[in-house]
Amino acid sequence: MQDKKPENLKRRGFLLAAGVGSAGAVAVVATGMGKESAKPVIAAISAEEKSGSYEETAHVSNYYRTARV
Amino acid sequence: MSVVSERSVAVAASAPVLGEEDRARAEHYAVLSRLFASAPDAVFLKNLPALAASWGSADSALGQAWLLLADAARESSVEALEDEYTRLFMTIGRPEVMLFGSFYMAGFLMEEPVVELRHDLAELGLGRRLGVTESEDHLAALCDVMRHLIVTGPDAAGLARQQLFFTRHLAPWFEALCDALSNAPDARFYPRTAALVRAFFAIERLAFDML
Repeated sequence: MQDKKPENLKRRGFLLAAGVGSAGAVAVVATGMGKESAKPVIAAISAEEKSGSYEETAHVSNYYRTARV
Repeated sequence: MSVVSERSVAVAASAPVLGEEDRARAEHYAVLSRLFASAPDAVFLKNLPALAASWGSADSALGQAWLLLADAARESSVEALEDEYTRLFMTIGRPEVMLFGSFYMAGFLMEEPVVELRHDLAELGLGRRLGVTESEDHLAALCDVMRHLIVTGPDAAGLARQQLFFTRHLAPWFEALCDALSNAPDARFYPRTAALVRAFFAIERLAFDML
């Protein structure tokens, strides 16, 4: 994992010091991202769709469910 | 369902645990995407000061940007924001402020940067959702991609993907966008989003340089 490398510890420390951290903020919920009106505009696509039209697939909604921290 | 999709379900089900900083990064990208994907609705507008209660601070550029945005949200109404969003970003022909990267990188919409972006998205297995008409180089779309890459790949390989995507598709133009937002005429809310965009992306750029 990246945390074991010193440069990544430095990066992590920098991000936290810069204010990119702190628990409690649950922005994904706050943005209402689960609602139709505010769904992400980019979605993962399955292999056969790469050549043609794009479509949201089951794993995308699964991913966004897990991502809703 | 394809093999790829099934495998992705398995990956998503065992989604990697994110560190505090990666969680916060993903959340910031979610906020930026929502801010620019469409005009804020009443719920989002109400939640912005609540988010600023966590991230706002007088001690850092990012914290100050959050405080500024919270003030802007408190002083705004949904109706006024709809008007402002439409006027600034949706005008047919030449909007006051362009939210598409290709405009800043090539001087025109849908030029080579979009071709390269589509290639990179295809490599990542990503594309436009069905029904979405905006080009993939819209700020909100790029923020969605970054959030996806963070949530699915906090390891070294994932960070490398994030760095490459950010460096190629966001870093070259976010400052020009922020200048345009700051100078947007007759606007009260979106000029005050510029500080958040600028502060957060500047942090991202510096942090990627440390890899």
